[in-house]
Amino acid sequence: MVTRHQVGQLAIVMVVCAATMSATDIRREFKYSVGPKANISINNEYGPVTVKPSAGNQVIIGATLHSDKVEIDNNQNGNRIELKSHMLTGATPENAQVEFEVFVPADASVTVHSSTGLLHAEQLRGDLAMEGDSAQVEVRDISHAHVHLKTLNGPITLTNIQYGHVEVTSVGGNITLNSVSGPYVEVTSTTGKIRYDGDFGIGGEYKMTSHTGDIDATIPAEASVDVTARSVRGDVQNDFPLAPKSHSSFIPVPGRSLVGTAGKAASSVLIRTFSGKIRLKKR
Amino acid sequence: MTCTEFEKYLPDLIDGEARSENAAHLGECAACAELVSDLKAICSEARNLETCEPSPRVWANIQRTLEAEGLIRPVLQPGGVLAEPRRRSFGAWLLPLTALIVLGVGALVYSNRSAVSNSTTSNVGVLKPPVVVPRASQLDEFDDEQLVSQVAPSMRAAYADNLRNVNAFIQDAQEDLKLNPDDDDARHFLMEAYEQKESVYDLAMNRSAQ
Repeated sequence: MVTRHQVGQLAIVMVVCAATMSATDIRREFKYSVGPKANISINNEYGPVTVKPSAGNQVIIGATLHSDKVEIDNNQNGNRIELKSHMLTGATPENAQVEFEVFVPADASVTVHSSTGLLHAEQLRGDLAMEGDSAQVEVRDISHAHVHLKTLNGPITLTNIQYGHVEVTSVGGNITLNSVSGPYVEVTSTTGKIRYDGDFGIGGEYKMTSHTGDIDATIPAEASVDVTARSVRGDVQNDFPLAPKSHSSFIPVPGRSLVGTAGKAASSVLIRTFSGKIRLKKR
Repeated sequence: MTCTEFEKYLPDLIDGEARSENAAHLGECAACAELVSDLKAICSEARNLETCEPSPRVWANIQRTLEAEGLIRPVLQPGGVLAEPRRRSFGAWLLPLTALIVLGVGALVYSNRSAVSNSTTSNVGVLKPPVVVPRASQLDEFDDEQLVSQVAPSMRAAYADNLRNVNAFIQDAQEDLKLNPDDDDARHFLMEAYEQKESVYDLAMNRSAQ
């Protein structure tokens, strides 16, 4: 039977271990003043990067280094700021982790690279490019910006992206779009699933393509869309009311493809998969 | 007389006009004497060489290049036809050829500097172009293996798996295009498949470039 004394000893050991672990973390902070439309690049070999808007024209970057086996190279040339994690001798993916918290003016252009770790950006109005191998990517509350996201197999989620020029590519990661509107949205995956939930805006162009990944689109009844959906070897299921088009570039094959419009057909929606399933649902 | 002063009179010496002070220096300085001897031998051999006229095409090309650079003006015959270039002796056409070579080297240096400055400036901005990626359609299994070996060990399995999936995409798309050569969607799928492969290479090479 475990005694109260033994539990107390275990608790002390755990507290000491936690203190020891955090004692190896190194905290660094970088501050820069920039003009309008600054350019910020964060290259983090391993670890998360979070980007949020700052007040005024300040770029403030906090970096937590998990060991002394990694250092930060930083550079400012006028309106261009570049930070990069630099692995030293003896570094491993675990001890070379750096956690970046980045605050930038909302109109700044931001580029982020990381192999792992969460990549998160929100409430920005400048161009955004994020790239990671297995990194999970989350982007939300962006408007009037170019958004370019690319992963190898990391999942990508976009939420509330308005008036965007959006290009998303993941070879094996699932891609989820909630309330994402154009004028241009292009999503491509090989095996990852693509899920879209939104009204496709007014007057945009939307393309979703996959090889084997299923593609689901959940659309409100009031959406105004011109839809073409096709699966070469998979199925196409439709639960959304569409009016047939008088002219089409191909003859739809029931169960394999469909063509139709809703409302004033303001936005063009092109959904193609080679052998995945396509499902259109009414919200 | 020093050797530097002596060298001013070399052309006269070669032509056979020697001055007394030059001759005295030749008697005292073995290096200059050897130089004069070598030059005289070269001139003697050159006189015995057969004249070798370049073909008219060579002349025409040189003339066109120099006219394009604005170094010479076209010479028109009556009737508006360009005059044939004057035939020159073997040594005398060296000047325009040298000018052509100098122009070519200058253009090459300028283009290299432009390429360097373009690559430097292209690093500024959010959408900087990635590292040059080979054309996906020409990549083969060996290239894939090389790529996987370059990424971090912890990521090799993921890259290998995803390359297999992308290659399967390419293969399916190629087969579909063969069956339906007039199908726009088939072409689209193949293009997307190649772009997916380029994305994999782009990601891997960006990581290894850091």
